[in-house]
Amino acid sequence: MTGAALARLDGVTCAYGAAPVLVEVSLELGEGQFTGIVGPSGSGKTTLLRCLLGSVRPVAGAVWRAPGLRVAYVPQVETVNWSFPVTVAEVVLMARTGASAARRLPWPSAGERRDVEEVLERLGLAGLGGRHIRQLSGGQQQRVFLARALVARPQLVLLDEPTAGVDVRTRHEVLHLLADLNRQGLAVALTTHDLNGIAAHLPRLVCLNRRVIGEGRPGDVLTPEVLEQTYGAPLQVLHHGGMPVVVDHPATPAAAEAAAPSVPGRP
Amino acid sequence: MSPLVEPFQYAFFRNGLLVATLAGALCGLVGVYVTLRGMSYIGHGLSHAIFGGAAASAVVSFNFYAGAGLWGLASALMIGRITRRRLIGADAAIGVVTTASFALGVALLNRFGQARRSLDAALFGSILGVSAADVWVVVGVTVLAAAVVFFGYRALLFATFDPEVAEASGVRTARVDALLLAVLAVSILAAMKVLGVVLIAAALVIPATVARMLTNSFGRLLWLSVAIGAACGFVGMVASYHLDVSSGAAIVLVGAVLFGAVFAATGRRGLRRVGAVS
Repeated sequence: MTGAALARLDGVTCAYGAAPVLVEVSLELGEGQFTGIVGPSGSGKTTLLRCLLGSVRPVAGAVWRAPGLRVAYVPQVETVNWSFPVTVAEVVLMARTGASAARRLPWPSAGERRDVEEVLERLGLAGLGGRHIRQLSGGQQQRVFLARALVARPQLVLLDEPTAGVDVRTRHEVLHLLADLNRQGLAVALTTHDLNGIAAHLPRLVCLNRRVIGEGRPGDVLTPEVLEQTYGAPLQVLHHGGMPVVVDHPATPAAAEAAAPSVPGRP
Repeated sequence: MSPLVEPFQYAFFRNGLLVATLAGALCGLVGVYVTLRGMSYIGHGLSHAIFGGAAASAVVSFNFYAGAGLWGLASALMIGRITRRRLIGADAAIGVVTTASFALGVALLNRFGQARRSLDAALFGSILGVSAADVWVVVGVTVLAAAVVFFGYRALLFATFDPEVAEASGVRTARVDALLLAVLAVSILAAMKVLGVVLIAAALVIPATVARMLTNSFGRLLWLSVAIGAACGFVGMVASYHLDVSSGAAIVLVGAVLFGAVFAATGRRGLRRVGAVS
């Protein structure tokens, strides 16, 4: 269900100082697409998201966004200051700040309060608006930041490692929630280094290591050749119940067994 | 006449009390952002840097606010210059520039000032130094800071909590940072006479820290911190008169007692809010 293009990178090269972080990256995100960007740390995943957001300017190439595109960003949960004095509702309301905000007064309007309540309910956080952000479970904490992104009514949401540092159950929860939102028409792009738990379940993958190494469905992209180029180390791909399973040591039946139980959606 | 109302018949005391209450509220307001952004060392450094300018202005009979303000600005620029070379960290640069500026102020007052008395007043705050003009300066700066926080509330909160996403959402975080630093600088300048150079950093930190132990909501924290700062300023100034101790010391001690009381009352619950216990 891929529609019109929402954002596109054309031969984008990014650098912090002299060292290039992205080299001639071309990529298109379309309406209704669900894309996973995979690669090792330092491969430029976060920089790619920042380019799409417009917070990093490429040194070469062009970033195009559909005119009037509403794009929202969900940061890594690990980067959040959890002892900061804010409630769930206060975090969600932050989306109504800056150039797009119709209101500058400190307190929310009745309409804004309704929007916040609505998005909290939609994400299963109803009644938690007054809680401090630390008084939540891991899955709820992740959803608060997704709620902040959604209250801006985006067409495209970008998530930086939404499953880093969370437990298996939370990873499940987040993935299913994103799939639901995607079915309702939201275009989603996320970065991940979790090949089996996340990447293998997404409809479209982009393998990145400064350059785009491979792009397509997991079955086509998660191959030993593409993975070795992406991660710089030999990786093996097994197949389990029709899903690719990536293992980083010599494949044995035991290794495949060990990898399988962590696959979401499977008993 | 009751000894409690007795000082209120003096104009100098009423002025001092008004300035102390407003300065306390002002420091409580700005202090919320200072503590949450980890800027308290900058506040400490700024007040010491400004002291050098205040002393130099006093020696050459130049306007206190203009002289101290320009001196503070020059110190900030110098810190930026030194830090940009990357060999020296910002905290070390602040340490060198502001302490040198402070030392110069002490030397100037020793050599040319009326020695002990003016030095004590500058370091620890004094009600006697408060003129009608000072009242207007504090009123003006308080109105300015309140307006900045009121109209910039959302951008300030977003940029303080989550600068990266704020920037991506269209908040000009560099501008917000600069604005906040400017408000901090003028607040220190305005509050310096009653609070004193050495004690102003505590007046910035205590109200916000006490308020943090009492609430988890940012909106409530802001109100509470302002109220606590104002109360400390008021009670401290009255205590300063009756106990004959410097105003800055009295205000900070009232704050410290309040901190101790709230700390004891909230126990581990409060501690967890500050983030000390995970």
